[in-house]
Amino acid sequence: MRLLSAVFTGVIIFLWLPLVLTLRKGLSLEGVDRLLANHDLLSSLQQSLLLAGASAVIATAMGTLTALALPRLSKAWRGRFETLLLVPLLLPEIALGLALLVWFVKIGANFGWGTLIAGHVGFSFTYATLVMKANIESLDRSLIDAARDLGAPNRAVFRHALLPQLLPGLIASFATAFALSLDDFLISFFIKGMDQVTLPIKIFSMLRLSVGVEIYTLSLFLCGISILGVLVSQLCFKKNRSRS
Amino acid sequence: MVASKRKLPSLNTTLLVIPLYAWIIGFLVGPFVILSLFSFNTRLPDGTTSTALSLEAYRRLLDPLYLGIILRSLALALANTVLCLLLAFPTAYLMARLRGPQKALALSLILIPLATSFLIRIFAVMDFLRLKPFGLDGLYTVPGILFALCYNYLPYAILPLYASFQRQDPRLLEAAADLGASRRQLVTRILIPLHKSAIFSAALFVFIPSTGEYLVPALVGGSRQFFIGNFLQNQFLTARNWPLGSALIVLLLFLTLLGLRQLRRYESFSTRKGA
Repeated sequence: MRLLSAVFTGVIIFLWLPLVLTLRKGLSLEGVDRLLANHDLLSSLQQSLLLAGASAVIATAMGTLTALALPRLSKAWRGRFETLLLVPLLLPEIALGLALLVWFVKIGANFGWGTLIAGHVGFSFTYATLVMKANIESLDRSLIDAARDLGAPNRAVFRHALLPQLLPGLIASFATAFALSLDDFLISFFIKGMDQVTLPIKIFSMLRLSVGVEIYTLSLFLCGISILGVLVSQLCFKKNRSRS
Repeated sequence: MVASKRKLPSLNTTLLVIPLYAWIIGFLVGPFVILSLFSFNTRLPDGTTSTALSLEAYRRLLDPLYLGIILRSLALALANTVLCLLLAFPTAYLMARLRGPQKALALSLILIPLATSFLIRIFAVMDFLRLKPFGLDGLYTVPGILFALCYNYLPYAILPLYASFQRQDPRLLEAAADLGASRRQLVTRILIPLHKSAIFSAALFVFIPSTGEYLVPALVGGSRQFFIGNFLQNQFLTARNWPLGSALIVLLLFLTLLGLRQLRRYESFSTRKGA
C-alpha cells in the first residue's frame, strides 16, 4: 500500500509539475495586455473556434445517425464497422494527415476551409459516434413505450420521450468533437490552405521562433477551460450515476 | 428488447447508414487505397514518379538507413510503453480503490492534463527540461524525448487499466491473501491474468501512436534525429518521395489493424469468460 501511494504521488507530481511551473508564468497583467494586442493570435483563436464549431456540429449529427444505425446491423458487420471506427484512435496522427493530403490532392480538392472541415469531421466522427453509442445503449426504452401506449404520435414521442434522453449525449459528443478540433495541429497542418492559420498552428510557429509572455497567458487560459470542462463532465457523470 | 427497439420512432436503416458509409469511403478507404497505390510506384532519379507497379518502395525500407529509423522508432515506442505500463498499473490500481470525492479528485488530476492541449503539454515539458531537472541536458536528447513521450501518453495507459480494476471484485484478492498467496503471487497470478485485456489495450494505445509520434521528436528532439514521424513529414513535404513515405504509412496501418483485431479477440474472450 505504501509503494502504491508513493507511485501514485510520483505520477501526479510528474504530470502536474511541468504544467504548473510553465503556466505560472502566464499569471501576469503584461501577458494579458500583450495577448489582447496580438491580433494574429486572436484571429487564429477565432478561426479555430469557428472551425471547431462547424466540424463538431457535423460530426455530432453524423455520429448520432451512425449510433442509431449500428444496433440495426447484423452482428458481423457491426463488429467490422466498430473496428474501423477505432482506426483514428490508434493510427499515428501523421499517417492520417498525410493520407488525407494525398487523397485531397488526388481528387483535386481546393485546400481551404472545405478540406479542413472534412478532415476535422473525419477524426471527431469516431468520438462523436462512441459517445452517442453509449448514450443510446443507456436509453430508458420504457419511457418511449409508455408514450406510445398512451397514444402519442411519432413526433411527440421523439420530442418528449427520446430527445430529452439524447440531450446529455448530444452535448457530450459536441463538446468532445469541439475540444479535439480546437486542439488539432498535425492533421490541420497538412490539409489547410494558405489562408488558414488555426490556433495550434499559430502556437506551433510561435514555439519554434520566439516565446513571448502572451503564449504563457494563452496556455493558462486554455488550460483553465479544460479544467472547467473536466469538472463539469465529472459533475454530470456523478449526477447521472446517482440518478440510475 | 427487440419489440421495443422496433417501437423507436422508425427511421429507414438505409438512410441511417449513409453517414457511416460516407465516412468509411471518404476518410478511410479512399485515402488509404490511394496511398497504397502510391506505395507500389517508384520515384525516378529525376524526381518524377513512375506509375509502373513495383515493390521498390518496400525494398528500400529495408535499406539500413531507413530500417534504422524504423527500428529506432519501434524501440523508443516500446520503451515508452513499458515505462507507461509500469507507472500506470499501480496508479490505476490505487485510483480504483479510492472512494467518493477522493476518487473523483484523483480522476480529475489525470484527466485535466489529458484535456489540456497537446502542444501546451509539450511546451511545458520543454520548459521543464530546460531547467535540467536531473542535472542533465534533457532537451534535444533521446532521454528527453522519452520523458516527453511518457508525460504525454501516461494518461492513455492509466484510463483503461483504471476502468478494468474498477470492475473487479475486491474480495477476490482478500480471499487469495487469506489462502496464503504472497503479494507477488497476487499480482502475477491474479491481477495480470484477470486484466489481460485492459493491459493489452493500454499497451496498444501507447505503443502504436507513439511509433509515429511527430511533435515530440520535432520539438523536444529538435528534429536532430529521424524517427518515423518526422521522417514521414520529410518524405512527403521535402524529399518528395511519396512512394517511400506511402509504403511506411501502409506498414503503420497494417500494424494498427493487426492490433485492433487482437484487441477484439481479447475483448470477446474476456466477455465470454465473464458471462
